[in-house]
Amino acid sequence: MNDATHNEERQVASNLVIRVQKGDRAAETEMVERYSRGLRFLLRRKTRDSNLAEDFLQETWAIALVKIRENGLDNPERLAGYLCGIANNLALGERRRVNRQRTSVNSEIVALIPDESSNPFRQVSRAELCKQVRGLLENLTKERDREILERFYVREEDKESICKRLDVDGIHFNRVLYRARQRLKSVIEAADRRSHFRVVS
Amino acid sequence: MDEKYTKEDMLVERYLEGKLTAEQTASFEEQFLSSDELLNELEAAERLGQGLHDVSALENAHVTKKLTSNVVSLFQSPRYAMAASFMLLVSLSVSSVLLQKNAHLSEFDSNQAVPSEIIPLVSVRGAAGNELNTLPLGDTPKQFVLMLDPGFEPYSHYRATVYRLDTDKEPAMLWQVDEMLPGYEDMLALSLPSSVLSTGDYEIQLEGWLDEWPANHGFEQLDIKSFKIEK
Repeated sequence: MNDATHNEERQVASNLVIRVQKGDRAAETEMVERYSRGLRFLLRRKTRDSNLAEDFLQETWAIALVKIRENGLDNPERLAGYLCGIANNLALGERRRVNRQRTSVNSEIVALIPDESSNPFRQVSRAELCKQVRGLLENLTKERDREILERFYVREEDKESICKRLDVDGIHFNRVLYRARQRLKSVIEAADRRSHFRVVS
Repeated sequence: MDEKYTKEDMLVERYLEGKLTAEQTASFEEQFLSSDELLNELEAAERLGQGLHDVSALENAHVTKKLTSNVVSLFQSPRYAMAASFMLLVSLSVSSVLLQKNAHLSEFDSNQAVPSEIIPLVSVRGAAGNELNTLPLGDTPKQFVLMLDPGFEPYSHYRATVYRLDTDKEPAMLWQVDEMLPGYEDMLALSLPSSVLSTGDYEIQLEGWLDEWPANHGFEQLDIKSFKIEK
């Protein structure tokens, strides 16, 4: 994030917090839509359980919105950090087996949380993903690049040992991973765009 | 942190691997929360890893299939049949001697049939889970067969660990079964003798293992189920 984007985020966050504190319901919807995707990703990584992540996402918003409506935030521009803090504490609580009460459904909050099915990365099925990754591997011109990906992602070897073993430098290693990721991203996004075509005649 | 730095230092991969410091992690999480572009990168990297795992697993499955056919031809050979029969006789003789010697130690000897109680455990967290999964201990020994749902993600095998929960102590490990595989109705069956249980609260930690993981990977936690034992 460059400085301009960073400043813009701080301004948007601050503005949202002030509006929510004033009772602006549209600002609440805007806030939930802006940060839910990231929170969902974070919670899914931390809990390794999609259902639990959804429960905690709802709980994160329940805690955050009550607090912001009543008292605002000390540092409204750090809204993202505040939300991360709540989500991480809920996930940590689960790991410590302290907080295991099932979240009661708050239909008002649930209605605010955007549906994840609009996200192409989550939409793509495992079989489809396999096909796309196979295509990506077939397009790699060097066997060594394929080996870099396999060693890093599948065998979970670290960068230093892979570079040493395959006699490649760190920049080449980064480039292979970065390009593979970009390639997969564009394949998934292209497939998503195709799936939106409709015959209208 | 600008995008260039992110690419060069592999922050995305390092975050997914859990190799950032606590401070870097907090800063990175705060950053991706409001950046669709960075979230796209993270999700693409996560999906790339998952796809490569799946492709590798499929390729290894083909190799295993080839090996299996060699193993099948070995099993079909007359020499193997003779050797196996001989080994079976020897092991049966040893087993019957041991069974007679240790009959008094077992709940399951032939003179004292132990009834089994098959119980599917309901997956609800917290106190509600305990209430739904309440098992009566009874006065006579029995074998609880607890049916566990392994979930949708397939693993090579599963491990279930039973912990006894005491309010004033750390959970104490009581029983562990490894190498479990789904059987009837794709459920895992955990057999637990009543003699190791007493009234109180328990939970079962269910973990999965994939054979392609390196030895230092560790099991992946899948589910925790609670149950209660009553008199």
